Amino acid sequence: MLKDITIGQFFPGDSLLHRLDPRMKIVLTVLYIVLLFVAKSIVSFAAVTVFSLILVFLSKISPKLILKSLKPLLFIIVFTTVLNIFYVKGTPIFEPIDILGWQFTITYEGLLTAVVMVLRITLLITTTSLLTYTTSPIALTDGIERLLSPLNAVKVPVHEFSMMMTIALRFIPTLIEETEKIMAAQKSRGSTFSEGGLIKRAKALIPILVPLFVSAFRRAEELATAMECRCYAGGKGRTRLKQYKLCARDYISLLTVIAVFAATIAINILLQGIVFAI
Amino acid sequence: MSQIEVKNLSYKYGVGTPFEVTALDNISFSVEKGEFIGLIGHTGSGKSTLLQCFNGLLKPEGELYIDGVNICEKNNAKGICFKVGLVFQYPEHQLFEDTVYKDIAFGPKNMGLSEGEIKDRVCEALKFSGLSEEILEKSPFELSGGQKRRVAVAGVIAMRPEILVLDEPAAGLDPIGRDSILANLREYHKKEGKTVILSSHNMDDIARNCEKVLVMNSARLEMFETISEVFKRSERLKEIGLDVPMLTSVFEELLKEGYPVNSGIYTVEQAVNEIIAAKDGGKNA
Ligand SMILES: Nc1ncnc2c1ncn2[C@@H]1O[C@H](COP(=O)(O)OP(=O)(O)OP(=O)(O)O)[C@@H](O)[C@H]1O
Ligand SMILES: [Mg+2]
Repeated sequence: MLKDITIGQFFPGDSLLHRLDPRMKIVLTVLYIVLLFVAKSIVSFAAVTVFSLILVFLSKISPKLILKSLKPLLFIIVFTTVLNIFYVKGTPIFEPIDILGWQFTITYEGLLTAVVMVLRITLLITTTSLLTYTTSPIALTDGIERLLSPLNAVKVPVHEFSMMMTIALRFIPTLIEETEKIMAAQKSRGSTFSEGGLIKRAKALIPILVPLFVSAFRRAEELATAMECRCYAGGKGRTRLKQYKLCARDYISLLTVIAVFAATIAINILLQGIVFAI
Repeated sequence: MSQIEVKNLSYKYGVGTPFEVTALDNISFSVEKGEFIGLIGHTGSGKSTLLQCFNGLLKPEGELYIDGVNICEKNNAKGICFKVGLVFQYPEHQLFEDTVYKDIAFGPKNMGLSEGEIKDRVCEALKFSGLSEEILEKSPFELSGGQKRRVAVAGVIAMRPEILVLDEPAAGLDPIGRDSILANLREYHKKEGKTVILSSHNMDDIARNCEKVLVMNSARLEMFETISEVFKRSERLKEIGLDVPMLTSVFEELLKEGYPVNSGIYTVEQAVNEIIAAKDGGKNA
């Protein structure tokens, strides 16, 4: 079950998306998210969907994995669909059905809203997970740090924040692995995690959480010592091993996204007749 | 029927992801009751994976019979962890209770034993691990590394498993700690007649304790033979990244130099006999 967590996981590769500058990738992802909320008509949504499919194809990440990242949110997706289908008022598609005294009817608008909502959530998750799938955590935080570096001027400790984030990201897999190991060890001593009532289950977590915390603190201490031994003293005056430089493909990607953005707005305006308010 | 029968066992990690690894590839062998089995193999060869199959933690493909029950089948794995006690690699990281007593009692308590029985078992396991009674009321976190390891081993022994499986129990211990843990194991094996399976990177430990050896190489079972047979094939062992006991290599060198000795020597006793025989043989010739 812990292995199903794929959000935030990085899959090494050398596709176009992998090679993009992380700063540019972050900016483009943010642009894309805005785009998803700007798109209003079915036509623009079709265009955005096709664009996202192209991105998935370009990343060379198996679509199966991308679907897997949607799994944890399946409930939310189904829930919003059902809610929208039945609650949005408008022209009914068929006569209201009477079930146990409740009037059920599906409206044309409700159906459209549901489709758009599902697309929006799905695309949102797909592309943001594309970002983390194709960018190593280190590059990601590096990129965020650079993008936020202007904040240094107003005394925001950007470097410290990004270092904290790097370390946290770095230790997620380690801690998951550790949890699995401890769970296995306690299972072999006969503890069960999926039986009994709420209190019994909560109690069954103690044998996992205690060793996990102990080892997390031990690791933190060791890491701090190791960093100090290598003379780490915060971000001041620190130079970098990796220098990022924007190149042609970064600019081309930016232009592409801007073009799609512009097209979406144009569609919104041109097809105002079939645009529906959400 | 043998106590443990493994037939065509395979296991893969990360099925369906780009990180799929075959950790066990079509492994078959069987172990009789009361045998002391060694398990060797290079790092990542699948030793820990194999050991975790024995008590039902992993669900491999194939068949794995413990006393005639196939634990790979659904619902058959229940309670198997009390029958097959598994001591993990670095087991000291799994201690969690506030006293050593409670930690050792965790397993027996999960078995549903009475307070009195639990107490007996804890004392017995403590004695087995060579720890003194004063330690019982201490917190496991204030013990030394070696003591923690012993407490963790005691926690499994206290369940009195029919089959005791240990994953590198001596790794990272000082020589005295290592010898005493292994001596305790030998004792448990001899006195109780229980089956023991022990994985180790130290060939001398294996040579000194085990009767038969499983040799793993890249997820496959390379050999399963008596110790002397295995160590006779030192060439092959070296090819797959393993070593032979110190004595074995000494005798191999002697053999290469042209002395009339046998290969596959691994205990001091054998070595002494062999040297005497070689000396006598030399005289006669
Ligand atoms: N939880 C896991 N997830 C994914 N792959 C794993 C996992 N555990 C082990 N593996 C892989 O399975 C293979 C066998 O690992 P295993 O731990 O059984 O080796 P080992 O023989 O015990 O090694 P060592 O001597 O280092 O303990 C290795 O290639 C390892 O990378
Ligand atoms: Mg191992």
